[in-house]
Amino acid sequence: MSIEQSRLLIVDDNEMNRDMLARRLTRNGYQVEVAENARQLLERAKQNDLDLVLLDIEMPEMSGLDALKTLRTEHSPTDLPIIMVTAKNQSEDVVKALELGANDYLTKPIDLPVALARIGTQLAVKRAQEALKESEERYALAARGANDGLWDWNLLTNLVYFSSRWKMMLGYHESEIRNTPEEWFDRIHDADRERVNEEIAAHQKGLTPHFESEHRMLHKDGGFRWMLSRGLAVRDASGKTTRMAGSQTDITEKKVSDPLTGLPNRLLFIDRLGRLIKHSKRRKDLLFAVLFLDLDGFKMINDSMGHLCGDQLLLAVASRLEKCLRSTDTVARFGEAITVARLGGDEFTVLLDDLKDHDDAKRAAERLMDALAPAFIVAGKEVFTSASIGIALSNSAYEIPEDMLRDADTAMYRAKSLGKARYEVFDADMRASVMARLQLETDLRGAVERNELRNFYQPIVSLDSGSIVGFEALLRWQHPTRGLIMPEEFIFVAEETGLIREMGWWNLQEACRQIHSWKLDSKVNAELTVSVNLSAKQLLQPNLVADIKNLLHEMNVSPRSLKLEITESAVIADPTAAVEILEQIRALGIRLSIDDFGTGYSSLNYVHRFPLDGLKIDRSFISGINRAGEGMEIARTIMPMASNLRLEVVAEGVETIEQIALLKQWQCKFAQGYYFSSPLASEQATALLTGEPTWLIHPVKK
Amino acid sequence: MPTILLVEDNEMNRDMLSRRLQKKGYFVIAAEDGERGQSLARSLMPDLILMDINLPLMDGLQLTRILKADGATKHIPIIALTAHALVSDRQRAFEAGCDDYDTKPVEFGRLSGKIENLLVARKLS
Repeated sequence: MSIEQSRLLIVDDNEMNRDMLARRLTRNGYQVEVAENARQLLERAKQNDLDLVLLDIEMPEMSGLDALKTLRTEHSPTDLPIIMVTAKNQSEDVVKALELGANDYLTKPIDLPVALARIGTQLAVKRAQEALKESEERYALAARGANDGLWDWNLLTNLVYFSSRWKMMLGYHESEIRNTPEEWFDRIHDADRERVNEEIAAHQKGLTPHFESEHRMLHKDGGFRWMLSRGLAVRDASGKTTRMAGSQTDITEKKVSDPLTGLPNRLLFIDRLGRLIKHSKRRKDLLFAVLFLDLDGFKMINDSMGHLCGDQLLLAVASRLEKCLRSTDTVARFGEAITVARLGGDEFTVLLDDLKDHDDAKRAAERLMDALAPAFIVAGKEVFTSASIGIALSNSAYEIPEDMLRDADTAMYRAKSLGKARYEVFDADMRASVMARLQLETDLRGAVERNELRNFYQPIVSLDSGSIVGFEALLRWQHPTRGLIMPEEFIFVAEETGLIREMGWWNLQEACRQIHSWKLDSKVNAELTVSVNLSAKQLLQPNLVADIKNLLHEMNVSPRSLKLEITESAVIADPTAAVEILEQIRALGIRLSIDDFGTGYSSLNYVHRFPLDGLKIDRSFISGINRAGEGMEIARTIMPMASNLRLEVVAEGVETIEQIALLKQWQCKFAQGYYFSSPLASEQATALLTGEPTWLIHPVKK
Repeated sequence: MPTILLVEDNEMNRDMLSRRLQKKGYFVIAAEDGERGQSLARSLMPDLILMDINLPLMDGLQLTRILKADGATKHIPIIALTAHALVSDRQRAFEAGCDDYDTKPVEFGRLSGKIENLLVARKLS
């Protein structure tokens, strides 16, 4: 790039400044263009052929600083040098411009020699950078020694021209490959061949604009290489393909390695594990193991520090894992062939081959955990992380690598649920629970459709009068073979699979239907309410409020008859969003209460920030009342605070008359529990409601 | 996605250029010599041709003359690429019928600006 070829753009709203500078720079051998405003500049820059921009800071409409900011999203400072032009004494603007990625600045009135010097410097830097980048690219290409091969297939003669590079990429000399299509197609991996044929056919039929296919090709050395083959079909007047031409690029490296860490990726890991499993069928005594690592709390680090920091941490973790396993004493212990791979996210896997003893896998897990223990330095901060590790040990039952990986994954989940920062070995019990869990999930998916859900109603009783003031509608699952299943058994699966939304909605709908039917019954107290649980996932569902409003309308149910119960954890996850939705629900006239109060974050400090009408003291505190334990203290202290906040308190899990006596003493007005009644099917609940109370709320004096 | 035919015998230059063009969103088909370039230009009808001037079998200017003399291919814009920066080279390229001209080593930003211009101009005409 000589001076005469350098293309400068002057951006200035003042015509005189613009033209004067343009003339002077042209006289000094530059190709000069001008723009009157930022819009013209942004438009012009799209062509990617400018060498430098002189940008006035002060312009009407869009300022030079805003234009600079926009340009820098597309063009780096080395790509497109920008020199800001500013009035004297505007150092603040200059600093801001430099922060935004300006390369240099000039002050007005422009001193030409200074301007020429600064422009010259920026262009020289740009040229040097370009030369460097180009030589780096050349070097990278040369180092790979894998340039693209070309092919040109004449479908009329059915002969293919393969360039010598194409042949070399597969390990062959010019003369070793003839010009028939079989030389290509016979080398495609069995598992890919059919797909490649389909991809070619699709392009020949005109269904795809180009032929682009990633597939494995057999190399002369007996291994497979991943190739990207691209091409275009030539059609005759009748639309029949007569020719196809294109290129072939070796993408093996990209295909099998994780771009962030450079470690093998899932594909390569599965491939190696698959080979090992195959090999072990011949060598029965071969012992190996898969370790599945998942970082504990990585999401929190990623969310709080940003994903760039998250990536840095993953890099550091990857390098520690490798170092730890490859240190000389480890290699001696765990065999020669160790593969560390990153599956994605914060999941790593390790393949330990040729173990002397399966216990070596446990020792490796311990070492890995130790290696991760010291602090990591990320963005200048100390960050701590740990890993939960699942281990799957080789056994003859494994036929495919995916199964072994899945088992290691399951063991990892077990390690997580047992408290994290530990390892677990996959065993038969885990297999059984995996199978049971899968079965449960399958069954649950059809439960709503097959009409297998039931609402059971547990009365909420006034401790003043002993009469029923309301019911909590509790979900049950009438399983076709296993009978009635309690929510404890299926709710977590529903939560994980997202089925909770559908099931929760069913629960609410059915409760409304029940409210409506009770309202029609003259024997039923008109003030009766029904409480329904609202899960965290439901709470954040779009349109929830409108849906509830419509439901009430359709079912002809007064909002005063409905109470919604939410758990502490549901609101804590995203308090701002939760408050907004809760307020909207309350605005409909529906009352809200916190369920299981005291078990989670358990503080009255935050409760007053939420729009609530009541709270339910968790059963664990009520059952503590008899034993005069800590629970009792908590239950007792909640009462006066709740009453200060004007929250209606319901005690859950009441089982004895003694508990009732104490609750009454503490001014608790409502209670629910087996003392009064277990949750009942709809008809029994109705019978209970219209009959006489069967319970005492005063201890019998002896 | 416009298709570009790149006629260039130097493997390194061909690969570097085709990668960058692909990254820009073009579909690139490459030819290593003038004869194959000619046959691919005729059968593929690319949207644009990048033509190295020094080619084996048939040089780029000769190929340009042939393509520009052929009613079927004369509308395809051709950018000549040459290692020489002499004015006479430029002159010869334009005389052969090239629509634009650039020197090697290619400065990609500039070349892609020229490609863009020719593709837009062709669409408009």
